[in-house]
Amino acid sequence: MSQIIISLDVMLAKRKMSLTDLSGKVDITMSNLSILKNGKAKAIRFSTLQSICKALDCQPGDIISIG
Amino acid sequence: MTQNKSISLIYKFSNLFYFASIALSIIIVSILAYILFGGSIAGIIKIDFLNISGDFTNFNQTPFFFRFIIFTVFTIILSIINIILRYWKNFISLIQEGKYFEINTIKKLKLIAFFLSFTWLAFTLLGFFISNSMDFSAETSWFSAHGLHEPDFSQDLAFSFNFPSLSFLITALILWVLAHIMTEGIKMKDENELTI
Repeated sequence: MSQIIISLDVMLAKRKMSLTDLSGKVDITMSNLSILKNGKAKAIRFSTLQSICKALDCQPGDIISIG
Repeated sequence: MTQNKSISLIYKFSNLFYFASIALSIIIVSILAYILFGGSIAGIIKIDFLNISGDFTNFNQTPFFFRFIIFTVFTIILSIINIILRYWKNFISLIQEGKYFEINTIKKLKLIAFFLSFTWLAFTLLGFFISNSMDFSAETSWFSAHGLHEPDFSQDLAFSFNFPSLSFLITALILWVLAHIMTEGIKMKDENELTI
């Protein structure tokens, strides 16, 4: 069964940004970003996705893919 | 978390009711134990129970078997009532703390439902097995108050659902369904917590 893969760590590495920096920019707690990064999140709000994409200057597909 | 006044009030009442029930149970069991071991309590005692029948003026004149049955049945009933009240008190305490959708809260609710079902089953079975041989004074007085001839229960199979025991079953079923709904609530809560 295919599953959703979150490549937040890859994008963070590309942008040379830490999770703490992103947390400060998108106003999401570190614990929630960790849940997202580790693939434990069950859902993501459009507003969260929008703010992360804006902070990392990327498209949703750069962060989320189906494996 | 906002404190709900009605829940807080129910919690206080539950606590009060539980401790009052414990105190009352201790008094009743003490009196029954006193009777069981031959203590003297005068009164008009009419017994028509299984193979024991007769009129007595003091409990120490009644057969030991009868006193033992009364003691055992009352002790079991009071224990179950107190267990149910204890679980209810703990359940309301968790609700007051805001722990609505937690396994522990639901477990308490399921245990209350289980004990209520057990009580209903016990009363129904007791009614089924004893009704042929036990003279129900409440039924006797009801029939005489309405000018009706007393029915001969010894000839009939006097098995009937009465309203108090049926209410036990209905309450148990409602609580069981509520526990199931709350279990679904846990899943929703987990999903909500993992939505970023």
